[in-house]
Amino acid sequence: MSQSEYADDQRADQQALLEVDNLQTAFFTDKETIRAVDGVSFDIDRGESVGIVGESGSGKSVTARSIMGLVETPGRIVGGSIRYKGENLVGKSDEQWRQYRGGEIAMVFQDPLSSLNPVYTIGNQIKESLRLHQGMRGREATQEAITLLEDVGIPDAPRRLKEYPHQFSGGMRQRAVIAVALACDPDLLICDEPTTALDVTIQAQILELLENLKTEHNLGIMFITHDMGVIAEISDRVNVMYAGEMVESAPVEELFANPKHPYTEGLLESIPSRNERGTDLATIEGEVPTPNEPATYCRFAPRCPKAFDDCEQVHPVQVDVDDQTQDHQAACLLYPEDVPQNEAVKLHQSRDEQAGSEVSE
Amino acid sequence: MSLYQESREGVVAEPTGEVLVEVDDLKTYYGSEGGLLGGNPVKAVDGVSFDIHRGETLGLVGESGCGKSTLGRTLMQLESATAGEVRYDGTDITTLSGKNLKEWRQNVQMVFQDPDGSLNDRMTVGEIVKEPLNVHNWKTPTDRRQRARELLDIVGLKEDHYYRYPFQFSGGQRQRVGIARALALEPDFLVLDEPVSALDVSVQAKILNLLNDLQEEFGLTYLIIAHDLSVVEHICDRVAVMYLGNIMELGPTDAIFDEPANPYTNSLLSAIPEPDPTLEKSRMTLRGTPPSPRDPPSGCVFSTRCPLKIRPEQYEDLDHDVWEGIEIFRSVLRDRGDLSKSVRQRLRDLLGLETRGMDIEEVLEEAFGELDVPSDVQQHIDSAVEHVRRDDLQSAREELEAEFGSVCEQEVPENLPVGDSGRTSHCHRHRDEHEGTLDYIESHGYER
Repeated sequence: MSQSEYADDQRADQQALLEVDNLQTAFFTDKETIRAVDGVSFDIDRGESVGIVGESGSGKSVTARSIMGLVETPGRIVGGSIRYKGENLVGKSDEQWRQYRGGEIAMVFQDPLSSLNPVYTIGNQIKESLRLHQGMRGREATQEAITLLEDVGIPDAPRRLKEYPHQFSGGMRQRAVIAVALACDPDLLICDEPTTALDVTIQAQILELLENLKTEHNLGIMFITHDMGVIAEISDRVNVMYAGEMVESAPVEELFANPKHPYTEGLLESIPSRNERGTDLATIEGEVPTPNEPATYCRFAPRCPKAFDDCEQVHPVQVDVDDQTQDHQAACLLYPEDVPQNEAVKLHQSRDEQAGSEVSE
Repeated sequence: MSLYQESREGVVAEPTGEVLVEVDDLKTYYGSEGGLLGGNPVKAVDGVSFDIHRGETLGLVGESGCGKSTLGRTLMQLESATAGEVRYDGTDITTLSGKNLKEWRQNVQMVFQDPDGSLNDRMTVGEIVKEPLNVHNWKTPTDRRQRARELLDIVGLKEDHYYRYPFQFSGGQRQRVGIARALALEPDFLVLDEPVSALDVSVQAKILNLLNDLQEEFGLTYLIIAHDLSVVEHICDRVAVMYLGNIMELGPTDAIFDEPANPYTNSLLSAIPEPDPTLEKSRMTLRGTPPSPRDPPSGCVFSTRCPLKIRPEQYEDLDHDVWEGIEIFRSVLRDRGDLSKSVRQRLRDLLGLETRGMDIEEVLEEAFGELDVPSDVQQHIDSAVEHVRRDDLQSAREELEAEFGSVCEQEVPENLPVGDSGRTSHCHRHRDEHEGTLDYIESHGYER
C-alpha cells in the first residue's frame, strides 16, 4: 500500500478550501514549553463541515485560534503550514492576517454575550461588519442587516435590529453572532463550541441553522465541540484530538460505527445514552496529560487498555487503518490492522523519523 | 444529636416507597414586593406538587429559566417559598427557623454546578471538607480531621490531598471535593444542581458512577437537577420535566424516555442530538424561546409553543403551515405587548409614544408568505390587522384568541394519570374528549 494510491482520490481533485499540515503551536512559559497543538493535519472543503472533538485541554481551541491568527503570547505557531485557498497563512504579519479574518474566515465563539458589545445595538454591530468588509453604508446596510437577521431565523427582524444584546435570549444572541459572522461573507466558518452554553431545544435550532447556511452559502465549517451527539449531527468528517495530537480521522458514519483508536472507543463508550440505563458507565482511567515534551511515545498509552511495550518507545503517526478502508486514519501502533504487529510498529517508527527530519530541515 | 437521627437506621439502597420529601403546591416568586415600577413578580416556581421517596433518585429537567434550580434551592430553604409546603419526614420545613432550621440542615446538603465558584480558593481541601463539621460543632477537632480524611478517601481522592488547594485540582477532582463536603454530616438527602454539566464526558462518567456507589453505600436520596437528558436517563429512577415553573410530566424514567406522553417532553427529547450519525430524525422543533415567567401564558403554560395544541373544531383539518402561520402571527402580537419590558418602554407606552403598527406587513409576510390562506381564516386575520393599524393590540389579540384559541389557552390543565406506572402529565390531550398525544404524534408523522 503506497501513499500515492490514496493521493488521487476525489478529495485531492480540487484544491481544498483549508489545508492544515503538521501544525504546531506551542506556549513558552518560564517553567515549561507546552505543545498545545503538536503536528495536526486536516483539510476542509467548501460545503463541508469538519468536526473536531476532544476533552478540555486537548488543543481544539488553540487549533482554531491558530487558523485565525489569534494565538497570543507566550504562544506562537512554531511549525507546519495553514494553507487557505492555496496561500500559506503561517508567517503572515498581523496586517496581512487581518485581510483574512472576518472576510474570508469568520469565527463564532462559545459565549455569545461576550462576543457582542453590550453598548451597541445588534443592528449597529452587524452594520459595522458590513461596512468594514463589504463597504456597505446607510440604507443599503440596514436592508442587508435585516436580510441577515432573517437568514439566521430571527423573527420581526426590523424591530430586533434596534435592540441591545441584553434584550436577546441566549439562542437569539448566538444567532445574532452568526449573523455578524455572515455579514463578512466568509468562505470558512469556525465554530468553537457554539451550542455548549445553550439548551437542547435551542441547540437543535442552531444546528439546523448552521446546516442550512452551509448549503446556502457553500460554507466550509470547522466545528469544535466535546459533545459526541452534536458531532454526529453536524459534521461530515470527524477528527479526534488528544493532548495536542490528532489521534483519529474518519467520515462521521465510519467513526461512530467503527472507532479504531482506543481513545475514540473510550470516548464513545462513556456517553451516557450508549450505556444501558442503571448500569455503571464505562470510563477512561486517568487524566489528559499536559503535552510539555516532544512526543517520543504514545501520549495515550498510560490510559490505554490495549497498550503494549512498544507504546512507550515509539511515537505513532496517522496511518490508514487497513488496506480496504479509505479515508480513515488512526495514530495508533495497532494499525494498519492487516499487517503483523511488529511491522506496523516499524512503519510508525520510520514515518515518525521521516517527519522529524522534515521539520528540523 | 439530630432530631432526625433515628431515621438513619436501617439504611437502604433501593427506593422503598416511603416518602421522604413531600412538596405540596409550592410557589416561589421573585420580586413580588412590587412597587410602582416593579411589575409582575417572576413566577419561578408556580405551584408544583410531588413526592421524593427514600433511597430514590429523582431527576429534574427543563430548559434554563424553567425554575428547576429555584425549586432545588427552595427545597434546601436557600430561597423562601412564597406559598405551599415542603414536608421533610413529616415536618413542614418552610416554617422552620433559627435553631431548628440549622439542626434540620444537617440532613440535607447541596452539590453545586460550578466547582470553581463553590470552593473557596484560599482554604485547603481539608479545611473545605471540615467546614460543615465546624459549623455544626461535630465532635472534637481531632475527630473532624479524621473524618475529613475518611471523606476524601470515600470520594476517591487521596488522603495527602488534604493540604492542597482547589486550584491544584482538575474539574473532576474539584467536583469530588464538593461531594465530600456535602457528605460530611451524613445527610439523607442531597440536592445536586447540575453536578456534571461543567465536566468532560469521560470525567462526567466517573462522577456519575461515584454518585451511584455512594447512594448504594449510604442509602442516600438524590434530587438531580440537570439539563442534559442523557445523564438523567442514565442515573434517575423517576424524572420530573419542568417548563416555566410547572411540572409538565412526572414518572418512572423508562416510561418517560420510552414513551413520553406530554407534548413538551416529546419536543425536549426530540431535540437531543443522538450520537449516531446514521439516524435521520424528523424533529419536533420548537418555535422561539420560552415566554417570560413574569407574564406566563394563560391556560397551559406551554400553549404558546406547543406543536400538539388542540385546535378549535372548525380548524381541525386546516393546513399545517397556515396554522403555523397563525401561531407565529399571534406570538409576534404577544411579544409586542409583553409586560416584561423596561421601565422606559412602559412609560413610553403609558404616554402613548410607542407606535407598534408600522411594520405589520412584514410580519404578515413572514407568517404567511406564499401560503394559500382559506378565506374564513383570512377574514379574521384582516380584521386583526385592522386593529393593529389602529394601534390596538389588545383587540387584535382578543380577536384571534376568540377565533383560534382553544381549551389549551383557556383552562389550566390538570395533572392527569397516564398509563399504569404512576405517571402524571400536565396536558389537556389526556382527557377523553381529545385525541391523545401519542396518537396525534403518530398520525402527524413526528418521530421522537
